[in-house]
Amino acid sequence: MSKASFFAGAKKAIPIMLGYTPLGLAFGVIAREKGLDVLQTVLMSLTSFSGSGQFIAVGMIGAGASIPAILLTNLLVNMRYLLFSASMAPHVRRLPSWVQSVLAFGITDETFTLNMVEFDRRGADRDFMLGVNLFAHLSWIANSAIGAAVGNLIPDINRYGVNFALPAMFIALLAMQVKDRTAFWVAILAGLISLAIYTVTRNGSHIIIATVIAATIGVILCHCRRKSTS
Amino acid sequence: MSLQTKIYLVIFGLWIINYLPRMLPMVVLSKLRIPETVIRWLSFVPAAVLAAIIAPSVLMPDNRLFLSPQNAYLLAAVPAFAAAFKTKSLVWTLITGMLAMALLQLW
Repeated sequence: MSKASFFAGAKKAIPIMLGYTPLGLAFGVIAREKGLDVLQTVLMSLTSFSGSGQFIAVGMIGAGASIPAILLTNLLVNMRYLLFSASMAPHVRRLPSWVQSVLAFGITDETFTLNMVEFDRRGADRDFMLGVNLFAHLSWIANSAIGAAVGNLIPDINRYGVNFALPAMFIALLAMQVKDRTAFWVAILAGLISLAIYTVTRNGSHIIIATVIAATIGVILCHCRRKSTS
Repeated sequence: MSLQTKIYLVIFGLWIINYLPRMLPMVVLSKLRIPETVIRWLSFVPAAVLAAIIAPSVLMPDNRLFLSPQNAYLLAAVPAFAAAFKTKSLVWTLITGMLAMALLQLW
């Protein structure tokens, strides 16, 4: 184990740790508001390590959604991890499977981006990746713990715009995902379908149905465009 | 089922659902080939799912369509979207959106 690589990774993780500070605090506060205690909040941040997924889960718990609806929605939101993991696969091919399984636990939007940049410079360095992932995760856990512990001490916390933390985070993630015109239309379509379903039923299925329909139409659009250009 | 049991079941389920999609492709699928159509479908999922979450939370904050300048969520979304597309940064979007919401609630 190379200490130098490990701490080089930790150092690179500092901007991520800073970014996770407001997010983690906001998550802790919201989790508490939706009925989780401090231990449950920390446990979720330890085992899931997924900002968007955890925010959705506590939001849906608060709204009284069923367990299958919560998990299925999370699975869809986390589909992007499949892509992250698959695109890292060729770089970490030489590492043993058990090391891959440990490193995979720390994949997030931010650690993925950072590690992919470093692959070009130093190749897949086990200890460097571990440093990045571990310190990012520690920041996430610590900040959600603080948010959960002090959140209910501040009266009327929504006054400070905390009620918009969740939509704002999703808006940021959406902007990162809209990379071309097809993705833009897929997003518009998904939003409209989701709204239409949500006016009829509120069991949490609107997200799943809208996603499946819109992504499928995206594939068809992509296919048509390619045919018309070739 | 009590709320406590439900919370622990959700935490356990999330653990599995968050870990498997991160681990399986890296460990297993690196040895296989994924059809291109599947990859393309997966590539649209993040944008679609995020839009599907945002639309009702901004346009239907009280579970009904609320297209009006009285809707603080809708108004706060405008600077948040601008910050998001301009900076592509989680932190700046979060700060802009929360600040806008905090200011709107002063009035």
